[in-house]
Parts: sequence; C-alpha cells; structure tokens
Amino acid sequence: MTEMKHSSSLKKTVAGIMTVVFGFLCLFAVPAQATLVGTADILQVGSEDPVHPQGTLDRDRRHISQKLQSWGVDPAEAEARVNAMTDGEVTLLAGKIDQMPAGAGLLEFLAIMALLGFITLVITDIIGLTDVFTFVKKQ
Amino acid sequence: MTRALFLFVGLILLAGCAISGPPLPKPLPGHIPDQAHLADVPFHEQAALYCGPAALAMVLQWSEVAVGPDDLVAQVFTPGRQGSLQSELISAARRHGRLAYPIYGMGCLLEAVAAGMPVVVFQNLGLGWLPRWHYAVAVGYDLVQDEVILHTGRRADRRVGRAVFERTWRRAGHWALLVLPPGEIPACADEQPYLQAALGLQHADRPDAAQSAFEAATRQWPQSVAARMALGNALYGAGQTAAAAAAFRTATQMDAGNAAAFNNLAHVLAEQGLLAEAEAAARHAVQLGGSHQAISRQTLEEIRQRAAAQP
Repeated sequence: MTEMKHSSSLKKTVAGIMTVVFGFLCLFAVPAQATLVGTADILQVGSEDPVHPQGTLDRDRRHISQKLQSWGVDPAEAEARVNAMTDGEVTLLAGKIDQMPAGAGLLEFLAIMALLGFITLVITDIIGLTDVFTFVKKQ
Repeated sequence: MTRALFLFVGLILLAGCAISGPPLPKPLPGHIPDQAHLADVPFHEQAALYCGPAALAMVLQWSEVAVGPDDLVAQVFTPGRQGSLQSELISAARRHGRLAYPIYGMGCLLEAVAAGMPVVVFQNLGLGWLPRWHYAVAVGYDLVQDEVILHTGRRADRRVGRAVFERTWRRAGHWALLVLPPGEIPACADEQPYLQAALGLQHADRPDAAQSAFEAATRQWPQSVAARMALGNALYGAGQTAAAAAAFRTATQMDAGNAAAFNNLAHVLAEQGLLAEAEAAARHAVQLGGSHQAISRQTLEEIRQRAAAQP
C-alpha cells in the first residue's frame, strides 16, 4: 500500500519536473514564430468552429491522451496519436471519446451475445426444452 | 411451448428489422462509369480484432507506404477498447505522411472509387443495440449488379449487395476515409476540410507532406487566401524565405483587408533584410487591426528595433 503511494508520488514528481522542462522548451520555441500568424489560427478564422483558447485545447489533448493510456496504450504512443490531431478534431473528440465506437470492438459484441445466449437457455430451461441450469425450476 | 420460443425469436428478428430500417433511395452521381474495380489495392486478411490495422495497411500500401498490419497495430490498436477509433486511423495515416480525408455517403464513395481511390469504410455489421464495428476497404462497385466490392474479413474482392452495405454503413454514420499521397486532391473535396486535413500533416510532424498538400490546395482553389497563407507558412518553415514572401504577397493582393497576410509578409521581408518594405507592410497590418493585432504590433516593434540597430 505504502509502496503504491510512494510510486504515485514519484510519478507526480516526475510529471512536475517534465511540466517545468517542457514549459521552458515552449518559452524558447515561441519567440522564433511569435510575430507570424500560424496556420492553425488562419484556418480557424475561416471555419465556423468557435475559437478555443489554448488552455482548453491543451487540457483536451491531455484528456484524450490519458483516456488512451487508461485503455492500455503506451504513454509515448498515446501522446503521438494525440499530437497528430488538429485542434478541431481534439475539441470534437475530447467530449465524447467514451462514446466513440472502436472497430472491431468485439468485447461488447461477445458480451451481449453471451447474455442473449444465457437468457435463451434460461427460457428454454423453463419451458423444458433444455436442462442447463440447476437454479431453474423445471416443469 | 415451442411456439412461444418461435414467437420470442421472431420478435427479436423483427426488432432487428425495425432498427435497420428501409433501404435508402439511390442518389448517384451521374458522371461515373457503371463499373469500377481497383485491382492495385493489396489485400490483408483481417484478424478478429485487427480490422483497423489491416484496412489501414491496405490503403497505405496502395499509396506506396511500405508498412504492414503488424507494424500498424502499435499505432492504431487500443487494447481497452478491443479495437481502433476512427481518430486513431487518421492520426496513423498522417504519421506515415499521408493525407487522411474523411468522406460521407454513397455519392462520394462511388466518386472516389471511380477516380481510382480505395476507400476505408466504417460499418456496424450488427444492430444498433448489438453493434459489431468493422473497417473494410471499398475497392470497386457495380451499378448494374447493384453491388459494392470490398476487401473485408478473410476475403478479397467480396461482392456485397449495395442495400445491405448501405445499412451496415449507415449504422456507422456513413463514415469513410481516403488515405492519399500528399498533393493529391481527394474525391468530393471541399476547401475547408481539405485544409484542415493538410494541417493535420503538420501536427503529425510531416512538414514536407503538409507543404505538398498546401501547394495542391493553391492549385485546386486558386482564389483561396487561406490556402495561400498556409503554403506561405509551410514554405517559411522549410526555410524557403523568398517563396514564402511571394505566397504572402499574393495573399495580400487577393485580400487587401487581410491583416494576417500583411503581418506574415512583413515578418518574412524583415528576415530577408528588406526593412523599409517590411515596416510598411507591418504598419498596414496594425492599421487593419483584427484578432491578430497584438502580433502585428509586435512585428512592427521588432522591425523598428532592427532598423534602429542598423548602422
């Protein structure tokens, strides 16, 4: 238990350090382009999407990345997948990533099939066609 | 009792029919041939959970990227969802330097195949309440037989009735994806979504591919200021300062009220050492105002500082 707590606080420390490091990298990266209006900004003005402040976008990107990680995707890989999305895509996806279907998504299908099979067998047990479950009172 | 069972099963089937609904009417583009079959799309058998990686591998290989389904599993498969999200297919295509462009509906699908482009299609092979999500690749159609030809599951070139395909496709929102070499304009392309797709290449850290895509956009939509600006930024990023300046200058000529165009032109001119011209452009950008005025002011300020520092 304490070990787990320890490792989570370690993770937090590492995350904190990384945030600071990347924060500094951003500071260095920004001035070179500061007086150029970037392509993302230019394309945003033309589209009908509302303009999203950078803070919201960063949070949405983090949210998607964390979701992917919670589904077993390696952290660096999750980051790479999110980085390749445009701001508009990130905004759309962040709100509904849980509801987005995944092809093949077999797990869901098999679970419902199993449930259907179970219900069918209970019914056929009840009407005396089968004798699978002992908890069903046979006629 | 047996009758009750039949009734039960019958009800389930009826419910299924009710959900899938009647087949759609047949809106078709009039200018395409009756039949088309792309023979040059490689086929990969789709293992149970890996229809996403396999479908993507087929279209990526068609677009001359040497990558197999096994390599793509790491980039598009999400274990916790036992499958691949549409966004993940898009991201992976971009990371391989390919333009990923979603299209919707039968008209666009037929147009794409007729133009020689294979189409990744997202289907729900099951029912609304019993979904079985699947990615296949449309490689042909036959309007005479009313069929669509798919690379799907374990079969290459499987012919599926168009009505059945339409239903499974509609249950997945009629979503389809074109994966193309950058520089090719997708079938059914519109300017805004195309530019966003090209911008995606930049996000995926494929600046060369993005530049080709933006160049194609300026040819396809010659009146598009946004395309010209995007190309200018891409050229500037690639160190082609003179070409970038030319693109921004064209943008200012196309839209004399575009502050961002004047600002970016000023920035690049300053970099070329043309400070007087740069200052004029920057001043004009500040005068025009708009949402980027803070940037324009900074550009002007920096140019003045540079001019002052010169002997």
